[in-house]
Amino acid sequence: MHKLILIIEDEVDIAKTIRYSLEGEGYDVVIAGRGEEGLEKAKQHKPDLVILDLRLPRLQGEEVCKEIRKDEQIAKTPIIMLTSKDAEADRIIGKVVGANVYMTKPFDLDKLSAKIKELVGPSEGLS
Amino acid sequence: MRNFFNIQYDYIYFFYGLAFFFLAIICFGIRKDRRHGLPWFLLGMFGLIHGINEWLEIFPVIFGSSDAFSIGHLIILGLSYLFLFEFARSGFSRGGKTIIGVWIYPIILVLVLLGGRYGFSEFNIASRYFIGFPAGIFASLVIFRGAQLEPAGRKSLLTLSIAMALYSILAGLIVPKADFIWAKWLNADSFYQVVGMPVQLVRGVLAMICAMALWFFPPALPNVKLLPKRYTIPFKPSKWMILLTLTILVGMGWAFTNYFDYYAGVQLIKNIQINTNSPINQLMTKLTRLERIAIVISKASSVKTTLTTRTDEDLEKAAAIIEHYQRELENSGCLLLDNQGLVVISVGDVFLENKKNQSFASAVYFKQAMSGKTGYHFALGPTYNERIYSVSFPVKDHDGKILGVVVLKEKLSAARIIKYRFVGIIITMFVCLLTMVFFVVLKNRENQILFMKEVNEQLNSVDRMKNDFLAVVSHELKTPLTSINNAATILLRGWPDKRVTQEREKELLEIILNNTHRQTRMVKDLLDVSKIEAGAMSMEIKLTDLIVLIRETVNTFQPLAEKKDIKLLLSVEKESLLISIDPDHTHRILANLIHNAIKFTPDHGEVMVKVKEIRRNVKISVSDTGIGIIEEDIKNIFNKFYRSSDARVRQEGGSGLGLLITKGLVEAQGGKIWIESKLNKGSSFNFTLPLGPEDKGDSHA
Repeated sequence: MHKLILIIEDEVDIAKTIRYSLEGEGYDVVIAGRGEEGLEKAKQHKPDLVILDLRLPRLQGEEVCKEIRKDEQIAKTPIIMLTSKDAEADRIIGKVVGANVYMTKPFDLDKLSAKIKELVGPSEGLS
Repeated sequence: MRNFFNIQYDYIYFFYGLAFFFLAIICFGIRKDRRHGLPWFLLGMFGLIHGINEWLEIFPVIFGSSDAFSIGHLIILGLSYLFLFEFARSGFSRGGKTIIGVWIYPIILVLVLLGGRYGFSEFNIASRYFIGFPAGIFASLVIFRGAQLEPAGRKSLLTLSIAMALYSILAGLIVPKADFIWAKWLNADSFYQVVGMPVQLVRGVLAMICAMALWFFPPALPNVKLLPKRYTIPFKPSKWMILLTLTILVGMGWAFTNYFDYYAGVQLIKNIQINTNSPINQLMTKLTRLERIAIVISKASSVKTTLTTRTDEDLEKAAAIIEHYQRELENSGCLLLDNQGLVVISVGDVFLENKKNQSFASAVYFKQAMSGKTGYHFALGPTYNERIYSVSFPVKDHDGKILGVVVLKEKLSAARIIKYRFVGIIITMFVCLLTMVFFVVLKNRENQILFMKEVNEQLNSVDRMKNDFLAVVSHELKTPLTSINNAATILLRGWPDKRVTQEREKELLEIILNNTHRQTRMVKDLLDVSKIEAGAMSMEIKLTDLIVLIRETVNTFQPLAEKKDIKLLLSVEKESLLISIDPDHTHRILANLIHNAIKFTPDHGEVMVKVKEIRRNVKISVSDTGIGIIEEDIKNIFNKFYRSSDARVRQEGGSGLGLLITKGLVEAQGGKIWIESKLNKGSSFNFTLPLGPEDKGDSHA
């Protein structure tokens, strides 16, 4: 049983490359291109981890994060937030809305993998 | 009511002058930034000189007029109107040049001189008709024009314009009565009769309205050297407070001035102190003389007889005696009253309205005389600077019984006494002027603070814009970098036992390449955008054949269109059209629009490029049968970095700068660009390029 990771990111290429990286490590990956879509999929699939881009069109990343935290079933899901904005201000936002980890683009894929392992453990097996 | 206004003329002139001084102070306070080209300084000079003119008018009212005064007054009046005219003339300019030249002045002066041939007061009227009225109407029109050109100050300037027009009618057409042209029937007197108040009062009110209208005129840039140290306004008077304060001051001044007048009269009667040098003593001399004559008359036997007999013969005799003595005095009259206070004989022209049998029983001096003493009275006369002094003395028979009262009245122009009134006016004048200056200084300070706040706001907003720009740019540049970084990392990890297939490998390399291109475009576009914003976009205008250019551009996109099986068509009216444009920029505009059209049209659709000449422009439209544009986007699509929220659009990528650059290039060539679109049916991007006079329709093909 592979762990499921949900990527909510509107930039196609970034989402793709993250997916390839994670699939290469054995995780199952689901992608959503919009905030609302991401929220739906989160509720539907109940992933083990969510990678969330802060800057999304329409429903912003912060909102999605808050919504996930509100929903009891998925409230405990670890969330990694990605953004390219100013680190300081958004770090605070991240903390406020409840993200676990915060990474600025461009980030190191290896670091991302390390963080993911930290939060949910390897792709197979228990967390 | 008439009498009430009659004696208040001095104060009316004071108020009238004050209003003009207020106008002048405010005009001088409008800073030199002549955004509307209206020379407020000249209007201020008009206000100042006219204000002086009106204050000088107080003198003849109080002290009596003189010829020298009239001439001086006329010159000053004319001068003030000339300033008003010059204000209008220099304000009526286009592109820095005045439309009416200085040649107008000799014409006006000739007209005025012609009027002067009829006489002196006609000079006054002529200058009002030929300088005052035209100046005022002209100024009103110029200000009205200014109101159209300056939306911020519209309300103020409109009010000023209307008030000025009304003023010019009332000052320029309602003139002193004379036999000159229309002055026969349209004059100050007829105005007073119809309206019920003196025209000067109404003019003064209008001048006050002009001043208040300008008070609220948005200020030009204040003198930056006088910046206040703190940014708080210590005391900010509202317009109602200012009006109220001024009204109270003027009202109090009026009451004060009138009280002085009354006070002077009371003092006269109470303090009968003999001081050889005092002006009051001179009056006392007059009174003593009156008293003497009254006593003499009262002792005349025929007077005594008449009071008892009242025969016509006796009456005649008594009247003759009285006249004889009364003639010693100028401007006087004598009344013989019986002991009931009714008029028996009335002599002299001072009191034409005192008829026989009129009762003076309630008069103070009657009562005083009836109690056996000499009676004195001091009253206002029918016209402004006159006072009536009355002395009464009882007529007693040999028993000491009082048969009647002799009353002698004399009209005196007691200028000295009226000086008290003048003092009252002067004091009020100072207080009002000081208050006005105070308010204007406060207002100026308020304007400075508001100006600083605005500058601050603008700086803040520029700062915000800069921050936003940096945020967006960094995002736009970091995004492709992230993709490149990730793709390269994955490739370098190697693929043997991780699920990266050859196909995937190819995809990743494509991602790297595409994002590199994307970033390059982004950088180029950013540079172009900053060039356009700085107005530094280089333009090489050449006479180009537009049709040939468009055809070439369309041809380069045919392969791309064919890939999606899209029909790319061109529709033109003529085969050739020479126009002065920058061919590279125009090519870029077309390329952007056609590329977008193809991008956003699904397979098997159609893209049509149409060229049409409309009047002085060429209209080029790029229409497609594509996905259309949502309404939100139509408003914002030309904005910097705007990315649609429509997913179909987002997935095509793009910097959000393309259309901004396209718009910049269109406008730099003097054209306009706009969109029409129906969701899911298609869109049409249209732009125009102007046809210059040298552009021909056809070139030799």
